[in-house]
Amino acid sequence: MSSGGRFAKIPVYIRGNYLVKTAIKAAEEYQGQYEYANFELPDEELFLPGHGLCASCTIGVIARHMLKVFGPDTVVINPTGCAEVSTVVYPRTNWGVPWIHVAFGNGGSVASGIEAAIKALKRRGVIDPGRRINVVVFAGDGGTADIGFQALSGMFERGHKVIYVMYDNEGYMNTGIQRSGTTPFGASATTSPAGKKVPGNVTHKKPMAAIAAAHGIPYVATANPAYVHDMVYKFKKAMEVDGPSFIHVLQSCTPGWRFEPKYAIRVLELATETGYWVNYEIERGEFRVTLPVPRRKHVKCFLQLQGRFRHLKPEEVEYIQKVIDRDVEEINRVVGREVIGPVDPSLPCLTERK
Amino acid sequence: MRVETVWLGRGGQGIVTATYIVANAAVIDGFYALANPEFGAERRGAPVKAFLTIDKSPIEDQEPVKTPDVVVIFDDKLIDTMRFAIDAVKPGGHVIVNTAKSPEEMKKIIGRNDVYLVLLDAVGIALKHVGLPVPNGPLAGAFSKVMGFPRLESIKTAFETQLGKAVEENFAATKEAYETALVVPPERVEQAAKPKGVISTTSAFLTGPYEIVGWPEVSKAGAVFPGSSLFYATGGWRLEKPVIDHSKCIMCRKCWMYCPDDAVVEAWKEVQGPRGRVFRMKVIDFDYQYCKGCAVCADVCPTGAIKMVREI
Repeated sequence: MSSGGRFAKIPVYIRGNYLVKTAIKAAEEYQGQYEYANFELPDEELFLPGHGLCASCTIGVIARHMLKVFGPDTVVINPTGCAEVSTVVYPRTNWGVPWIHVAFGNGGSVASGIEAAIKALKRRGVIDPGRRINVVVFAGDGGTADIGFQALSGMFERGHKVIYVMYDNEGYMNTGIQRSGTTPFGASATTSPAGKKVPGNVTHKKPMAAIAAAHGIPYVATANPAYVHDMVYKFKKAMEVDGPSFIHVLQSCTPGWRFEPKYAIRVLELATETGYWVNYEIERGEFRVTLPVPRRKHVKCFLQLQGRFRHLKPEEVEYIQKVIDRDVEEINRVVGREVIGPVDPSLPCLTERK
Repeated sequence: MRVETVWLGRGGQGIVTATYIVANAAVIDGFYALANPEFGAERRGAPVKAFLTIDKSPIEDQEPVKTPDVVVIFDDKLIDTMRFAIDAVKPGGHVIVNTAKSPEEMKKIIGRNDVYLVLLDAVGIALKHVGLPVPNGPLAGAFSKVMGFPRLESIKTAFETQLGKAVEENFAATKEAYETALVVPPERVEQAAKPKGVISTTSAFLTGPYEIVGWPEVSKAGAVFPGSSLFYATGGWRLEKPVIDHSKCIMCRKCWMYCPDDAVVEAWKEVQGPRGRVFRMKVIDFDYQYCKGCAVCADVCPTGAIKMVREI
């Protein structure tokens, strides 16, 4: 627990002194890349256990580290989605911060309103003007890329200081695995089933981070919870910029992606290692890949772990590989040097752990 | 003849599939059957209740079962929270439990002496034959054994129509359960006695101590207390629990980083040195009250210190 604070009097919140103290010193693990991410995570948990997320759901990992960075002075706006239905079952909640549920489509507008209200209260002296209050939207891919898109776009355009965190599980997983705007090519969902002629979903993933960057907002990043150091660094950056920020976080979904629960982190690691998911940030127009991959694995390593891609024929896998090659080439061209390397077939798909 | 059954389990164990298989098999045998599941959020681990009614004549009402003849429990850790269902079984009825515990122990846990108790290690049988911890096939076999219907051949046909794959493996599990299920007869049955309670419809998909909040008590804007979810012990979801070998642990805290449930904690442990001195050292431990048994910690552990041990 931090010293005192609003939650000091609440008995159930404090889980005793046995909470883990840890120092995330990323610079030790990734030499030459993470000098800037050298800060400690607090030991207090603000995303508490007792929630109803599926076993091994990485929303838990994202939300825990998100609130560790943002601290107790945070307002979370949660549009409808997996995180909302499973963490807040009336009359219980597992968020240790102020939290509001809004409709599917208006996460951005409610966040704008709350940010404006805090500004007004600071001007009147109700809230200490020096106090930093983070307004965070924690929305899924449906609430961001499809239904909540216009509210999000308006929020960016008006320039409210809101941190928008989008956890992307590539589908409407809570309602029974329907396809969404961010479902990748070839994934089988209940509304895009794989058949004899159609290989599941036929459209490509919506590049939400690029769309957000096109609004000209100060900070846009993509993150992967398998690389916690990178993710918490981006949360910290987003908290410190003046203006709207957008973070697109990939999240593995056990029932939707259909892999064994224990592979939840492994499959996310493979997403970055194959070049399917590139961790980058765009800070005031400056594009930087924060997690370079010197040699890529073939994309089949990522696909073969998941049941939603099991129907794919070899030529369709090659097509997905070709699309990834094209995207990687584009990223290397923008950066100006080779940050994501070529495919190395000699790399093993799954490195066996002891 | 009318048999009303309630199947209790958690999402992902195949409860709904099990009722469909038994219903289909009963239809093949010439019965009328009605299977209607009842669940809340569509996710793994959420408690699921499925009703199955089998009758010789057409079934006209589609209401939930209030006082069942048979209760099938997929997970013996659900017994405490789903006790209302066991209390509602008619005297002389059957309670089929998937458990690895001994009959005496189970009898004490169930706490009723006027029902047939049917015990089998369905998860063990399913792991042996199918390779997955889905106890639906074995429990269908146990149901067939105690009720005398549906026939095993009909269950096999139902597997073909309902699953369409791994029919032989599932049928082998069903057959083994049919042969090995242990039936404990009741001590005495008073036919005239009534069951202790009924299954109320409000308890559909909630487990544990919970309160029904009437509309006058709902707070303004539905505001609730922060962190009140700590009353939900999600530890009942797991099939396997993580166990750590402290001699291999290097305290990298990767398990803590990747745990979605804050169930990995740091604790003080007293150890004895070579000369008898007692040291206090910090070790990684697990909060079994909330651990859902997803095995992510065992997968990310770089030294293999964390192992998963089967619990039920």
